[in-house]
Parts: sequence; C-alpha cells; structure tokens
Amino acid sequence: MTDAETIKQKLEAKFNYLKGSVRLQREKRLWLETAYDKFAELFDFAVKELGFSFLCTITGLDEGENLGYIYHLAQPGGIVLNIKTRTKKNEPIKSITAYFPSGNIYERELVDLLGAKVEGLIEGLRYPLPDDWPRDQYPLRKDWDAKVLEKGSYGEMHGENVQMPIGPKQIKGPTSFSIAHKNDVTLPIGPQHPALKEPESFSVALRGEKIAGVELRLGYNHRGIEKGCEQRSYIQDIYLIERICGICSHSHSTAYVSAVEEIAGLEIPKRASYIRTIIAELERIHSHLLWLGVAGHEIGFDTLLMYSWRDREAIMDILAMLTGNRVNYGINQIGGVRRDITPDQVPQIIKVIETLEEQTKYYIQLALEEVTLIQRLSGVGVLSKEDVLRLGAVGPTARASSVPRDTRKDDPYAAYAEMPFKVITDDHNDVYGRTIVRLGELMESYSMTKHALINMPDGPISVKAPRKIPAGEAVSRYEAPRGEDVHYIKSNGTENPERVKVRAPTLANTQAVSKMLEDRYLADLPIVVAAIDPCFSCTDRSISIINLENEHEKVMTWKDLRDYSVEWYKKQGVDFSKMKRRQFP
Amino acid sequence: MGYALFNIFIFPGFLFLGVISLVAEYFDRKLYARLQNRVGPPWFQPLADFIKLLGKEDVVPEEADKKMFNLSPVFALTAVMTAFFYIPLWGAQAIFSFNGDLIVVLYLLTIPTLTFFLGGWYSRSLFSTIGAVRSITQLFAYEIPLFVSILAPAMLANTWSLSEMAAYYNSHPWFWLANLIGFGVALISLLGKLERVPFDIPEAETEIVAGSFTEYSGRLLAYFRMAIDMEAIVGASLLAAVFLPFGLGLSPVLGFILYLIKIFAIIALLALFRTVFARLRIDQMVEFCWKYIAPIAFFQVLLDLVLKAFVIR
Repeated sequence: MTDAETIKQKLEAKFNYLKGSVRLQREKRLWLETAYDKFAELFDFAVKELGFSFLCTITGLDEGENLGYIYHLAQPGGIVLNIKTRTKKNEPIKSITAYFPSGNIYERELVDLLGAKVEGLIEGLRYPLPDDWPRDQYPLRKDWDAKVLEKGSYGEMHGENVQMPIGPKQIKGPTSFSIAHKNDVTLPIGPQHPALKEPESFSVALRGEKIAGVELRLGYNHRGIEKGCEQRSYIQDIYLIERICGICSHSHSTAYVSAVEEIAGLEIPKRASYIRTIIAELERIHSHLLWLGVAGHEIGFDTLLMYSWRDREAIMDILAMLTGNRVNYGINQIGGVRRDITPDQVPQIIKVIETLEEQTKYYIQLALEEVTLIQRLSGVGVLSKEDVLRLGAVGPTARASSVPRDTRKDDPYAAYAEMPFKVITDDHNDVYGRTIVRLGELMESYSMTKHALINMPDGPISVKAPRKIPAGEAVSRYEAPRGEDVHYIKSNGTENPERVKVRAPTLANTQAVSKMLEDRYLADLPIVVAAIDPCFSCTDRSISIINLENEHEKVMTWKDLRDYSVEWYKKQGVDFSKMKRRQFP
Repeated sequence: MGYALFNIFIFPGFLFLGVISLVAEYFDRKLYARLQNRVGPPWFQPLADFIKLLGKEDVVPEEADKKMFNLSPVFALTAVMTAFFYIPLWGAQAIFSFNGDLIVVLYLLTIPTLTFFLGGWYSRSLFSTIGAVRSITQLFAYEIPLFVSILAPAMLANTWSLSEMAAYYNSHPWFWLANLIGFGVALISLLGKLERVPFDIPEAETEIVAGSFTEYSGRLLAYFRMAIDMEAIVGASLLAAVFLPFGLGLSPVLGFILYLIKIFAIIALLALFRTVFARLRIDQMVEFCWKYIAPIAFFQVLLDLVLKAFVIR
C-alpha cells in the first residue's frame, strides 16, 4: 500500500462523512471535499497528525452562489492533499495564518481578486491589486467585466455619489512602520531602483546604516494572465502562460501542460518527456548562471557578472538551436513537444556543457576562496531551518538551510523519475549557502542533461490532444530554477479552462525576505533580495491592465509624449521633427 | 611671466592634466573591460562622455541648497588642479614648491571628498544624504593611513617639501625601496579616496543609486567626473613622486616617458583591484582600514625612524 493510500485510510477512519469520497486522482494526489463548518477540524488533523507541513497555495473559485476554496497542502514525501470547501459569497472564512504564516499572502489574493472575506487576516498593504483599484471590484469573479473601469460607466453603475477610484497623487506611500522610530529614515528602494530588475517596492526604515524594518509592496507587474487564460483556449493559454516569466518560461508552460494532460488523461511519449527534461535543465543552467552574475553585480563584483553572463550565452545559443527561441521556447504542446532533438545536435550540446562544467568548477573554487566575496555573503540573510519550514520557503532558498525540498525528487514529473541526481543542500543558512547550492545544482544539471541526451529513447514526440478537455481538475508541481511552481487547472468540458491558478516560487519566498533582513545593514539588502532569485513578473501575474483616466492626471498618449519632446527640443534649438530615420532593409 | 602662465595653463598645467586624465580614464576603462572579457570603449569615449554631459540640461532639485549644490563640483575641480602644481612630475622640481607643500597637497586632496559630502548633503535627496555620510565615514578610515604612509618617506628625507624629497631620493638612489610597504598602504588608501571597488561604498549603485551624485546631471556632473579623473592622476603622480622617485635625472623626454609609465602602472594596479574584488560594506571597510592598514602605515614610520637613527648617518 502506498503512502497516499495510507493517508486516505486514516482520513476515512477519522472522519466518517469522508468515506468513499476521498479521491486518489493519480499517484500522490488526494482530493477531498468538506462543508466549511467541518473544515477547521479536518485541516487541523491534516497538518498536525498527517504531517502536511507545507502550504502550496490556496485557490479561490467563483462557483456562482458560492466561493470555493481549495487548500493545497503538501508533505515531504511529495503527496499533495487538496481540501475543497465552500461558503456563501458574503460569508467569511477564517484565516489559516496560525498554521502557516505564509498563507497570509494567498489569503490577501483571495480578498482582492475574488472578494473573499477572511477573518483574522493581518493588517497590511494591498496585494496584488493597485492602491487605486476600487475596493468592490473583484476581477476573478465570473460576472466581472473590465468595462466597469472605463470612465463614466463606473459612476453610472453605482450612482452619482460613488467616489471614483482615487488618483495617483492621493495615494499615500507605504510608510506605516510599527517599529519606526522618529529618527529613522525611510528609504524607498523601488518601484524603480538600480538594484531591482523589475518593479517592486521595498520601503526600508533605516537607523544609521542598520535596517529597522522593511515593508514590501508587490503587484507592479500585473498583467491579468489568470483572467486572460479563462478567456482563451487551452492551446492559446500555453503561449500566454509561457510569457509569465522570461526566465522560467519553460517551467510555467510545462506545469500548465502537465496539468491539462492529467485532466485529459493523455499519456505523453517517453521521448517527449525526455525533451522536456532536457530543456528544463538547460533552462535551470541559464537561470543559475544569470543569478550568479546578478549576485556579483549586487555586491559590486562586476567581473563575475561579465564572466558568468558570457558563459550563459552559450546555453542561450543551444536553446535557440533546439527550439528556435532564446527566451520563450514554445517547445511544449498538449500531448508532447513541438520539435525533436536530432542526433547531430547531441554532440554539439555535450561539447558546450563540458566547457561550462570546467568554467563552473572555476566559479566554485572562486566562491570557496575569494575573500571579499565570502565576507559579503556569509552570515548575511540568515534563515534557519525552522524559519524555512514556518515561512514555507522553496527552492535553493530552502535547500541552503538544509531542507531537502525538491519537487523533482519528491514528486517527479517529466522524466525526472529516471534521472540520477542528488538534491544539493547546504547548512550555511545564508546567502553564501545559497550560492553554494546553486553552483552545486549547476554541476548536477550538467550531468543530468548529458545523461538525458545519451539515454533518450526513440519514438514519437507527441500524441494527439483533443481540442475540448473533459471536465476535471488537476494540480501540477514543477521545480523551477527558483523553487516549486504550482499550477491548478479546472476544466469545464469546453475549449477554455474554467480557472487557471499559478503560484510562482518567488511568491513563496518573498515572505522570508523580511525575516532575512532583520538587523542587517542597508548594504546587504540588494544581495539578500537577490539571493532568493526573485522573479516578480512570475509573482505578479493576474489582473487586467487598468484603463482608467481620472480627473487629476492628464494621460499622455505615446504621440502626445513624442510631440511634447519634439517641441521641447525645438525651444532648445534642436529640431528633431525633420530628422530622417535610417531605413533598415 | 609668459613661461609661468604657459606652465600653469598649458603644460604641465590645466590642459595637460585634463588630457592625461581623460587618457587615464580610457586606459582604466579599457583595461577593466579587457580583464572582464569585454571589448571596452573606443579611445575617444571619455572625451565624448564629457562633451555630451556638458551639453545636457542641469537639473537642480527644488529642495537643494542651490549655492552649495552648484559650487561643490567647481571646488572639487579647483582643489585637484591646485594640488597638481606642487607635485614634482619628471624633474626633481615641481612648478611651485615651498617647505610644507606636502601637507598642503594632502589637504587639497581631501577637499574633493568634502565636496562630495557637501554636494550630496545639500542635494537633500535620501540617496545622496546616505552617500554623503558614507563618503565622510570612509574619509576617516583611509585618510589617516594615507597621511601616515606619505609622511614616513618625508621623515626619512627630513623635509616637508615634495620637491626637496624628490631631490633627496634622487641623490640617494635605492632608498625608495625602504618605503615599499608604505606604497602598498597608500595605493589601498587611494582606492578609498577615488571611491573605487572595493571601496565604492559611497556610490554603491545597487543600494543608493549613485550616492552623492544621484541628483547631479549635466555640466555639474561633468565637472565632478572630471575632478575624479584628475584626482586619479594627481593621486598617482603623488604616489609616483613619493614612493617611486627614481630616474629623475634623465633628459626631459626620457623622464617624461618614465613618468607616464609610473602613473599608468599605478592606474593599471587600481584597475586590477577593481576587477578582482567585490564591494565591501562600510563597517567592514572601516574595520579593515583601522585594524590592518593603519598599523601597517605606522610600522612604515617606525621602520623609517629606525633606518634614520641607526643605518643612515
């Protein structure tokens, strides 16, 4: 009997009403439903008795009358327990932050996007919607229409007295520090700052050079992808999902297609899963090399940046050769992959990987010996093992605190069950440990790619997938370079999915950042933030673009802006308007 | 009179200093790039940057103290240029000299850092203010070792004048070898003075954008950058005059070439440090300077005193 079956039996033995309704959809996936009044007891039992120590995410569903909630819980063995429950739209649910502090951000999402009412939610900044988003608009509800945000219609719908969403000028910045002292300086790191590659905002209260408090505001990167997915077909969604992130694009698309394949009951050919694995590992290599460069830059060690990004270029070329694209590979399709790897490509890839192996050995030596590097990295951003488990950190961040949490091992997907590899962990608990883990993982990825290339079975690379996917639901987990990526898909038998939910690894890790920055210096902030390898475009994925022209601000179109700049320069005596543009053939 | 004016404005005065500091910036950037496996800028890039900055709009923040904000870059430039006149370059004689000019040069070289502080402080921007405070904190860390290490050779030569020092070492060849430890200390301190990696803490881009210079733009920024470039040359010349005083009796042409070799060697060393180190934190930097660099500088003084008392009579 497998572990999942044991858990199923235990659940049925404890709760009579569950008898026969606990569904083992596939290996390591348990689904069950409960009424909300019995939820608390069940949840407590699952966490305390059955060892489900990690909250993947919480999915919210609009079910017409009711709001549905799915709590995705995981345990170290990789079994995911999905507890479904529902309440009336106006009835509140209780916060689960007592069990999982990390649940806070997922609950905030439910509040903003679906209008859930959560009792006991910690006060704080909004997530993920903008501050000027109307409080009574819940974009993930099925009856929500983006038109209400257009000028006029919002007021018409709600009568004259309704206040329009406030303009940017009236928004107060995030400055509510409970620990702030009157001598503290609040430094805005972001939304635009050289240390950040993507917009997000850290308000840092400084006492001298020391950090007294950090307040994080996410959500600057929302593009409405979850809502967008519901309005597109499954095939279009692959390409939309792939564009969640420019670095882990393959991660998201693989997680998505595996969930859809699970619902449709498709068994993909062995060769296809090998190709997915190869692309995934190449992606991990390029992502980790990119991280190494960024980390070097954050601590003012630009030489490391130049070297590792030079090496990364070789991997990008390989990816371009295999898939035709450097960033959004588009290799996945439902039922397999789009392109095969030809036999003459294999030696080329192996050659590049062997060169990179040598380079990486040099970086490992550098990390172990270079004095200023060690001084800047060790003891910085400490996150103990207990904190990792409490705050639900994932990926290299967790593994650097000796938590062997790796989806590839715990819950294998694609061809990982057949891959020989070690889960790299480290007990430094700090940024130095995270560097060691990533460098170690690079070496593992090299050997794994080589193994997969050599042992790739022959055969077809895809099976035919139906256009309409039968009703059902699935959760898929994927070990992205930054950590565990969770996708939940619900289908309703049509061409479009009913709900697509994405939990990117950075969202799980951001909650550990404040903990890591406790009592550190300002100079450590960039590297501590960089050490979780943040990818905020992954994190902020949902919500349509706000198309709002309010009274206080004049919105300039691109043409207005251009004309303005031409006029301005004319006054300075330079006339650009007659400038000839170079024609490209 | 005419010759003196030529000396001040053309050669080896302002114009020469301007040209050579641009060449040195190119050399530094190109070497840095090559060491990092990059192509690097073309030879005219520093000049092009300078001219382009001069043509850009000057934006003065509303909150800033206009007078201090505008004057700081000019002060920096003036101080550096003045210091240059008292340093013997290829002969043993500087353009101007008097007994005590060593102290004046050291103080003139402190003024740019003070203007970074003032310029940053009066910008009133948070990033600038933090950068300004860091500049001054760092100043206290590297300035003492720099002073002490430069005073040691002066003690051996028994004079406070740079020109007389050069003359002394010229007549006592090989004595400069006794000051090599001090040379190392002075090089490290110069890195701090020029705010280069690993001591670019006051300008740390990823933390505080550009430190003191965050609010500067256009002409004022061009002056600041020129001042830093010139400071590199003046600093390198000072180190060359104090610690590498050999070959001063050569013919002017050969002497000039030797001088260029010396300062470019020092600039190359600075570029090398920039390549191989990561930026330290301010607390680490201060600790490093006081724990290691300052005692080594004092050791150099002790060494010179012992030499003077027992070996050289």
